[in-house]
Amino acid sequence: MRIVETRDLTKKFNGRKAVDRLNLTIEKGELFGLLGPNGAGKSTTVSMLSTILEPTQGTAIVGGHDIREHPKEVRKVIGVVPQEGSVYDDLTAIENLIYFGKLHGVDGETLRKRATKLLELVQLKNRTKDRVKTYSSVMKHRLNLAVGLMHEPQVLFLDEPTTGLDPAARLVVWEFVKRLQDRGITILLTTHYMDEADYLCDRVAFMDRGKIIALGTPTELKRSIGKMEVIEIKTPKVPKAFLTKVRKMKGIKKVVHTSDNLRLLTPTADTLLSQVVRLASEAGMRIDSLNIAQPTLEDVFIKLTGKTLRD
Amino acid sequence: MKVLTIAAKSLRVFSRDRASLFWSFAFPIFLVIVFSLVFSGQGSVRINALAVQQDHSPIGNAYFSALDNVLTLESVENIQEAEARVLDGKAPAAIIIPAGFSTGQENVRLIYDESRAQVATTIVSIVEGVTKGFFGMQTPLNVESVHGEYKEWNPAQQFIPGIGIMMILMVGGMGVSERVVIERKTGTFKRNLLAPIGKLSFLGGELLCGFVIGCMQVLIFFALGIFVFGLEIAGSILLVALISALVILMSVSFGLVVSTFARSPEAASGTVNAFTFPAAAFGGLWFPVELMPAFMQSVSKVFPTYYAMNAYQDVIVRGKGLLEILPSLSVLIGFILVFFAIGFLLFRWKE
Repeated sequence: MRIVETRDLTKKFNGRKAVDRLNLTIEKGELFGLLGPNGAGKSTTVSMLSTILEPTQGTAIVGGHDIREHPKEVRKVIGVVPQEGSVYDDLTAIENLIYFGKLHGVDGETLRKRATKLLELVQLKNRTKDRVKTYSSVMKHRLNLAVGLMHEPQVLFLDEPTTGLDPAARLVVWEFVKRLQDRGITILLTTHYMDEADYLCDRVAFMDRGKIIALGTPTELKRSIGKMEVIEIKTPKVPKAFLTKVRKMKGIKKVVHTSDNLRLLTPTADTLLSQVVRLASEAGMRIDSLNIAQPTLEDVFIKLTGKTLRD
Repeated sequence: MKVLTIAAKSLRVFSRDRASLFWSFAFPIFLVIVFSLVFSGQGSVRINALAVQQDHSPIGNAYFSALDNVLTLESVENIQEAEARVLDGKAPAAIIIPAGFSTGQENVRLIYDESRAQVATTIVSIVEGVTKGFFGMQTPLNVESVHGEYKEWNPAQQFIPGIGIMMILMVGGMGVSERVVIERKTGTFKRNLLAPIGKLSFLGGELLCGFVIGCMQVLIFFALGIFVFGLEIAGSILLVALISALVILMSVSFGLVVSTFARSPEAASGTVNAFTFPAAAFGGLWFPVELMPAFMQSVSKVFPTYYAMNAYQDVIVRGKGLLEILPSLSVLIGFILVFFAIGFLLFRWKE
């Protein structure tokens, strides 16, 4: 059963198309990822779906309601967890939950019961009565998630849920997101971390310049670039001469160079490895680590667009 | 009742901000004390007074023009009218030069309004000085004070409503505008936006929060005035409450207007101050309007504070009723409606 369906959803800012005739569907209970670099149109899409930004053209049906015609009804069935910790610093965790719960029409006994349960779920039970301003950023993040769940939404929009978190904290959030999916909540996750999308999502849509350029399960997407492997080199500095030569090398399909990392996409990693090492030593390049890896979603994205997700 | 939920939340946030509590309640009390000390002296500005000139002899005319050189005299036809205008608070004093004055049969009468302490003392000393210059030590002058319903003049009649209006305007204006700007900045506004509520609920809640804080301020000011400074209210206390309610509505509606364009809390408080200080000075909140030059006095009438102060003093000092203060209240209500209309229309209920 479809729970989100966009129909030619378009948003223009000063004539520039931030989202361009978007057509996608999300099934009930699915964990769907919108993956793309900053400025690809992910947040704009979420803002339109959550009815706080009016589309220039097209529309979407969320939980059976049209976002343009019945925005208030849509807001009742969705939960949104914005990127920044949108909670009141001067209120306690439980006060924040009760406040936003009331705004969503939760009342009576349910209010406190649900707030307490959620605080347990996000492991803040022992800090219930402390003001949010005394919380660490991870704790604030967890409360932010809990607030989005106070009215038991059918669809949850998670906008870059782990941006700014350290690796350990990211894992905590990932586990939490998985648990939410187990409870039957449909989740739309936007992220620019490919490992996050790979680990969490049932299906992923790559978004670039307002358009969906690829869509499928992470496995399907990785297969879509053919039988490819990646030669991954960690190095503090890449000499220009090396880069020019390696790009011209037969069998290398794509070369991606980031600050301390070089990724070479090739169907024949084994055979090319020794040549690459020879070229590196000729150019006087220091190699900190070298290995052959399976392609990631990022490599798929690079193959499709020629740029990295951090561009 | 989403409005109540939002208002209760904002009040809770407000009550936990020590700086807000200081500016809302402690600072105004401090200001009242400072002003009551500073303005216990006299002013020395050209001042208006009424004059009934019934002695048209050369001496009478010379005496009149000597007074007119120092004061700005407005000629009035008869004594009753002059007395009534002083008693009514329309003029601080009236000088009556009777027909038998130049022949030594009658003395000049100076009637002044006790409630205008600073102006009145100045007028009395000016008239006494001029008269002494004319007639030597045997001054043919009778000085009489009149007052409204209250028993005796008390500076708190100026400072309590004066500082009260100023601080309500400042705290209400800043409170509402800053709270909204901060909500926008910290992202909580977005969360409210994502809830199934409308613009009216959100603004209603924020304005109600500002209104409740304003009511607490009014209670503190008048309690301070009555129990500490011995303020007596000649008229109805219900009218004082009505005027106070309008002043609070004016302040929160003004804050709403500021919230529609201010981008930072600093910009919001700066804008509120930029309006409040001139409005306080020109509106007669710090010192009586009569002490200002004529041009400035006409500028006063542009500010809502002028009408609020007039209404307060008419009730507190002169014991006037609802019908008599209705003109002042109407102007205040006009300002409130305009502020609300602009605020509601321009407020962006989106990110």
